[in-house]
Amino acid sequence: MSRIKGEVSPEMFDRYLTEAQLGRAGIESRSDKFPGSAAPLRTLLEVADRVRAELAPADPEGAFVDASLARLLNHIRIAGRGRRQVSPRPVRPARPIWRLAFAPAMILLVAALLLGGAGVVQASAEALPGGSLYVVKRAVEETRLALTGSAAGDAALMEKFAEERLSEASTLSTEGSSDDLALALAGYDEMIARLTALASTSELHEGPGSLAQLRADLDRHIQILQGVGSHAAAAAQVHINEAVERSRHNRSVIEQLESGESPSDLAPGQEKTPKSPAGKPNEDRGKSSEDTPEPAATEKSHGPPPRAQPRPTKTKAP
Amino acid sequence: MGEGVERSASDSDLISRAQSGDAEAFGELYLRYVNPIYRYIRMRVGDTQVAEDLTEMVFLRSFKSLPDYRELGHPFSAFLYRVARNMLIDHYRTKTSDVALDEADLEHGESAAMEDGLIRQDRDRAILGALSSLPPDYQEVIRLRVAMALPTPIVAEWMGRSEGSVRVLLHRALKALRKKVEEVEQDQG
Repeated sequence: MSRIKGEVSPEMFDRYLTEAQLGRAGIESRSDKFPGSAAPLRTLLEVADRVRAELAPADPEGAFVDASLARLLNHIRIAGRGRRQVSPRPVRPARPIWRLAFAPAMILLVAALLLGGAGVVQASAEALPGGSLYVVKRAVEETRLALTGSAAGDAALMEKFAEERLSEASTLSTEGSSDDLALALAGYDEMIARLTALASTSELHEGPGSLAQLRADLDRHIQILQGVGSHAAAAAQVHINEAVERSRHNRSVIEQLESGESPSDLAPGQEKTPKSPAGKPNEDRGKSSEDTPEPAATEKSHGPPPRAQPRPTKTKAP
Repeated sequence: MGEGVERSASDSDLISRAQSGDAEAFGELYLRYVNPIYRYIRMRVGDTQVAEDLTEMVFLRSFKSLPDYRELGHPFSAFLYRVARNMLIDHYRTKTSDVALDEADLEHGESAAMEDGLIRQDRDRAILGALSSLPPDYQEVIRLRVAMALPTPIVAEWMGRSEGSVRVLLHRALKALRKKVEEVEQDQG
């Protein structure tokens, strides 16, 4: 672009703006280098300075970055675990008993029966995380899940096992180790993740396996966890509080699914209910324009656009 | 950050690892880009808490979209910016559901709605009032290049324009802004 006398070229302005942003010179020294262009350059740089002074946003709080990163990583890990373990199955047909997915559980169960008989299996029912029979208890649960013949049957058992994990957590919150408590709560999370996957793909509208039932379950679980937290040892409080937060988020995910929205619209650890009078982003989310964004898509609009312009052309969508 | 992620790792390497489910790699990408994405969103919404929530949602949504992500020579930050913009559009579309919003003219509607909250908070600030009356592309280049002080090459990638086009756009935008500011200040007496 050629420069008219007394005008500032876009390139020149950009160069001076960069220098200003790098703190290399003030407006006076910047614009006085080219006397012919000094006035218009100074004017534009002054406007830029005002914009920066009034609009420049601050960096995020360190506490937010740390907490947000932790929630994000936690979500990714849970999602990864869910992908490997859940493999959504809308309506489960009868399965062959030799299904590989529960082979380890069957092996453990058979070993327990062979070595200790039915008494071992019975005794394991009271086992807690960290106990020697706990692995047998979980193997029995997995075997029972593998032997059900319907999604509703699966869901009913998963609900029962999720509450069993909460019961274990309640016991461990006062007398157990922090690691064992975390293990019980991780087991609870895993069961809820499986229930969510099942409920989101099943066609059940009520009872076990339905989203409505799962939402009601989560309401009850949150109350249970809060009750557990009220009398838990100090070291256990952190785990309990995190579990409450995750349960609230899970409940919001269910609400999203019930309303036909994508759970991916919900940030990790975020609830659907408003937290502040100013309004939370997701409380307002009626519908999402793009559940899956267009990666690296770009818009091209040529020249200064009028206010009512046709929608810009998407040029690429990898 | 986990020990498995080198701070010097390239974005491409981190993206590739994140696409394989490496949470730590995505965590490193988050740390690299959370500041500009948060600052961009913070500039568009009037509430810190909302900006934080939207920022988190941008990264969550980005992670979910990673399996389909292809670099094609564009920086990862441009992808995050696109996600953030879509998130803001969704946010304001629903927030202003009581305001008539012409769906066919989303760019304008988005812009007007987005600034609406800010104007109400800062009615007396001439720059903000003037900025909100400019065409969306003008507003955007001023936000990115001036308020956020992003370098021209990055602004070009984010806006999907050439660097020369961004310079020209900025030049025109600032001239238009100066004129509007004068009008606003004259109106204010």
